[in-house]
Amino acid sequence: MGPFVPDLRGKFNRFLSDIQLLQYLIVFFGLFNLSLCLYEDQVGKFDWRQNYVGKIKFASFDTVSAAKKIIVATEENVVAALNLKSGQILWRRVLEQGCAGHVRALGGVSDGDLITVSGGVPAIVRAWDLATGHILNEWPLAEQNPERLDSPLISFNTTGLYDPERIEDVMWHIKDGTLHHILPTYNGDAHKTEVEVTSYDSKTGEKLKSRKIDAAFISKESTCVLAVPYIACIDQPDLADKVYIQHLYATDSDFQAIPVIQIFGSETGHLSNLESVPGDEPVVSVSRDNGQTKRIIVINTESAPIPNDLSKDTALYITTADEGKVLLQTSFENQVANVAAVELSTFSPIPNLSVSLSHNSIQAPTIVASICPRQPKGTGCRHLLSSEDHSVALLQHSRLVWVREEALANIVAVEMMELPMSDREQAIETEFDQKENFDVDGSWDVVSMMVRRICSQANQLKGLLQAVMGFSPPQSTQRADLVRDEFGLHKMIVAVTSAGKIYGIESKRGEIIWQLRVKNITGFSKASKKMVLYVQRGSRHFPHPPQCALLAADKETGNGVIYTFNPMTGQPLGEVTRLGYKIKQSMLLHVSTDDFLRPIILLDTEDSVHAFPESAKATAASVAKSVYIFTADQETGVLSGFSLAYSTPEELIAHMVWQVILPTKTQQIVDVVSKSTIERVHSQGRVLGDRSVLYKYINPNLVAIVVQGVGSTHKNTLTLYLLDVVSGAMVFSVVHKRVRGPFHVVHSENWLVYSYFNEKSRRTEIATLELYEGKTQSNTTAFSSLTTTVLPIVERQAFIFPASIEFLQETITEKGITSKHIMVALANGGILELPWMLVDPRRPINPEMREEGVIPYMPEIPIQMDAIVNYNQSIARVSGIHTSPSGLESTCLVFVYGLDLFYTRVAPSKTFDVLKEDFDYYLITIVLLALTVSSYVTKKLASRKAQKQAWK
Amino acid sequence: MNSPYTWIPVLLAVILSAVGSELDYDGWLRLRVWHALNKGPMPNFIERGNITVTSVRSGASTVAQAGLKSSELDELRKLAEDDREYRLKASVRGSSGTETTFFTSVPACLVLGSELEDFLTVWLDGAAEPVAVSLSSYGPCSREVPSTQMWTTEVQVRYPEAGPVPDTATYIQKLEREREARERGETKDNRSFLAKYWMYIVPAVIFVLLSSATNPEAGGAGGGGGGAQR
Amino acid sequence: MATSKPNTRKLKWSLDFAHKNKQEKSVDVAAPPGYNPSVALAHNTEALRESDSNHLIIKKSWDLALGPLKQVPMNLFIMYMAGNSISIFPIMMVGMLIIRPVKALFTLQQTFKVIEGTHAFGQKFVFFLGQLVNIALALYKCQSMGLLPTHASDWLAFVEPQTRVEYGGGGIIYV
Repeated sequence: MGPFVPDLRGKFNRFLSDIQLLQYLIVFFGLFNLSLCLYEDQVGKFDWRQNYVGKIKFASFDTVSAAKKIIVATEENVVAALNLKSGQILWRRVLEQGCAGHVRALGGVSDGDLITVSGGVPAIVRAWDLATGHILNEWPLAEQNPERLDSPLISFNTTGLYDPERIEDVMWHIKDGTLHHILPTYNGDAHKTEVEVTSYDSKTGEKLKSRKIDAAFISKESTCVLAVPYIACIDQPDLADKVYIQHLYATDSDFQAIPVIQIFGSETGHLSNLESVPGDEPVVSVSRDNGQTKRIIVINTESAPIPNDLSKDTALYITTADEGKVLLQTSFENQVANVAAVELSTFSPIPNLSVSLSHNSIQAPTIVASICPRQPKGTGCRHLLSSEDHSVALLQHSRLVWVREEALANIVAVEMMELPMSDREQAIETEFDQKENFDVDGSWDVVSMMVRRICSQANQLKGLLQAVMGFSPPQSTQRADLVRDEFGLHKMIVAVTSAGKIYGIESKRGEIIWQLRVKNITGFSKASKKMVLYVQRGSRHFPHPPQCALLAADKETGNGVIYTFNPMTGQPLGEVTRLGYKIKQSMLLHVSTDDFLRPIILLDTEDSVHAFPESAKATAASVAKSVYIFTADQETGVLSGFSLAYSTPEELIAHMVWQVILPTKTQQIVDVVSKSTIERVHSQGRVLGDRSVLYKYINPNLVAIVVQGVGSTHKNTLTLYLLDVVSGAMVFSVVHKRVRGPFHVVHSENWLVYSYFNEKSRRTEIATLELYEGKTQSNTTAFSSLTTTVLPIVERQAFIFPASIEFLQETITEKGITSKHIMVALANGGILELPWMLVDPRRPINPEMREEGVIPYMPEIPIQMDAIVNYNQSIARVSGIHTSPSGLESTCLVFVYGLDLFYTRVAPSKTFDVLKEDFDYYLITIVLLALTVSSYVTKKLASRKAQKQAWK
Repeated sequence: MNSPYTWIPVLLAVILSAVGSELDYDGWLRLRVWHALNKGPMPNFIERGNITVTSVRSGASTVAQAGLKSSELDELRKLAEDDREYRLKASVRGSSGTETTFFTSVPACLVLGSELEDFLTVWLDGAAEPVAVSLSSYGPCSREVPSTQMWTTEVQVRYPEAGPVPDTATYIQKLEREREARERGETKDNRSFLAKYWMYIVPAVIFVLLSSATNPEAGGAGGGGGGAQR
Repeated sequence: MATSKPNTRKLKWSLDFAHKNKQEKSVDVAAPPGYNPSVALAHNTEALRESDSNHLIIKKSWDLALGPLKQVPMNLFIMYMAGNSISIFPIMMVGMLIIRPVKALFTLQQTFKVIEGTHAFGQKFVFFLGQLVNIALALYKCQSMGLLPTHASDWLAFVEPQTRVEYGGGGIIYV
């Protein structure tokens, strides 16, 4: 019996440890289901998606197929078919990103097949099925012509193809299943200048014929346009005095030369700006000396200039109506678009084809496609208009059929704003507001307060009665559904697009509530199209309206432009502020003025500081000692930190406190990633296995500088510097060798997650860094970058990610209690919700060193299909993900933008603070009632039984 | 000259953490250091000293700098009183010969509080080129003139650490080990059910036999019942 | 009241703690266990009864006082068997180990109401000490199971976030 007890104890312990292991296993497998997937009936309940195609480049009416549609090719490298009646996308094919996918020509729709030429070198020719959008044929057009070796202009590069620069000069023409590749060449020797026309079978890629046409009139500076079947050229613009026209297919024709006098009727001036007029007839337009007028030349065997002046801004299109050619002139004045139709040959107006309309979304439109079919009622035209603000509209019989807001395919800045309170709540708020005023005055007037209360309640009663009696309620300025909801899940998405158009989209269904366009603005730099949107005042400061400010650059001067507007209604608040300087950097201050407006600090190119609005200077100066602003110059590699400490209420002064120089010889700054300004971190540390605490290094001023190596020796390196922008102290740096972009970085709390492509292993990897202060906190109450000199402990780990990444963003919640997930936009169109726990750098390789809630290390991160938040609704070409906290701590709102828009909400730690949607309220009520009743009944029964027992 | 304007060489060898050394070759650095003690947005730099880092890998360095004059100390105290920063300009020349100038600053009160003890950290990139020089001082914050007029400067050289790589080897080893363990476990437990659990089955059988032997009627009844059913 | 009289008649060893009979009202102290006034009267040996009951009282009350200490080895064994893992049964055991002595301490006065005499204070003290030992044992068990909030990590949720002193902003230049 002696050994039995320890044996039993041993077994008991083993049993317990088994249970422990089982618990870990349950936790481990539970993690995979952490992101709650949707049930089928929840599809579209919390999310919506909108598809876009982008700004139209080429368009063509498909009249051959049974289902009438419009085929478009866009600046976003998309080929799509739009429904003629509704404008919905019937099919859409997204081509390669960047230069490799640029659509260069589209044609053959009238012949029943769709041919596109896209890309650079080699250009790819594709034949599409009109009905479904499937590729029927695809072949690369890699021109290899040994004769070209002699040409000085067309240089062979190593791949045996012509100079990629020349692709811009190539003109394409698709007709009757044949693709013509037209390239004017200039050899320096005038006699050898020629136009090379190569014809291919557009389906098979078979080279049909190649011929050269002498074109001695072409010089190095020539501008040539294609007006099929002719090519028209002028010499160096502004010096030219003749338009040369050459037929491309007739073998024995000579070129025509039309002098200025023949076009404009006078000898003076030079020609400039030769343009081809799109449409059914070879027509070119030409203007003189950049004048305000232009004239057109109808090209024929005997080309005839038409002696009618047209405005420079008029967009032209030639269509066929009633067997005759019609010139459509589109002009835009005072928010009214006019399409004036004239007979091409006689210039006599055709009033029944002329249209005039005004619509918010049609701004300076041009006709990209037009068709005028003969109908029993008479000839009516359909015009497809593409506006300057990227919107697309279909006009049919002088009526607007539909409008597509294609500017949304190119969003550059997003904010999500809380909706305002309802009118009734605002009334209550007003009452309290006034009460406070009374308090301040110190005159407690009970009677007047009583009167006020009675008045407001009488008003509420009146409203209720009116609602009950069926009277129409008093006109409200706001829509009934656009008010703040209980959980703050309904928000207003403010989206700024590269076209300078701003949209207000409500988040529940994705409906566009308002839109406005700021004229003559553009992104700060051509490359990034960057614009900055700041929320200066939220919607919680009734009666002050919420205010957003958009920072952009002036289209002409490049100077800064600030536009303020109400993000709930889209009403401008004040005029557009055009600054007299270029904005170098900006930041939103953490304090607000007396009217709850947060000032913007602007740093101009001369390193002087401005405040917006100007009146907020004193507010800015009051906190200037703790405000720092830094700049990172990608071209020079110089990072400078400025302090505003010497500012006075009269003048803001920035002085440099640190400067870091990343030598451009070996490296280039790719990105600077700071933390979200609204982020809050709830947990200050991490519990270790021995129950001690590892305190997080949470430095709000820390930024990650992503640097890519340049030059032969340092190419394919990625260096990450962590820099404190207040003190200018480097905190950590890490280098990855043999990796290349694209780099995506998420910087939050005390960690960084970044992805890159490993050249050596040829796979995408995710690396994580985590910063800890140590087992003790140097200062438990406040964090000051200037006094914290201890370098943090950095934990790091890398993982293999089995997919290509387009964008990374972390979820954010109001109090930061909920665990963080990372939203990963995959190249295949999925949005993956990746728990941060899976990329935790403290995931132990050795399973014995286990901590609470840490999964053992696995080198590959699994992609769980039920963690794809957009299930089967693929999002093409994601350019950004905006996350925003909701009123619920558990829930984070996610807005994905790119070519498509997608909105959903995620709950990283599940919805711990709300009851489930399908919570059975009736059941629980019934059960509670039944229990109460039964307890009373049993009490009665029990007392009766006791009585009976007593009498026994 | 009665001020203690003397050159004091301080040799400080800083032992760097050798973890993840990413520097391919060793080199040297020569720093010329200026500082500004004036108030106002524009710094007025005056020379402070020279520092030579003889080996960037080990961080061994020679510091040669002048002490502060009492007037300069007073200026520093005034800076501290106004919560201004003490600014430093460092011009670094590396082995490659290019010279780069960096700015850095530290609150003046921290310098006073730590008795003119400061840390100058030179950050290098992967190619051993300097990218940043930062000055720090532990403090505490003080607005009193310190007892010393001499700088105590410690120079540290830091360079990027090697980035993490997915640890597939260990993981595969782990998997291998687990597989082996499983295989071993399988071979051990490959015996039949009886072979494994005979020690439990035999007593149970004996117990049943004994109990049926002591109570033959019950056993007989059970057997009879079984027979009747058949 | 009505039922007690027939009971005393019927059963020789029946005790009634709940009710006091009329003849017992004069006695302040409750009858010790095993004492039956009717039996004592039947024997009618006053002196013997006096010394015997005194002896019995002291013996019984010492038993009571030493009870908690006697429990200690048993508790130790239970604790040893429970192990250090946190699951429902060990938690219940530990809970009982804590709650029982605490309850006993609260009802100390009631327990010792019946005890009188020279040893009363000492007995109370020993009883009290024994319960304290039990509590200490239970707390030790909690400690070894990690149930006591003695580590910094247990108070982590109440650590306030650090406030921000400086505000930095900026990024890549626009122009």
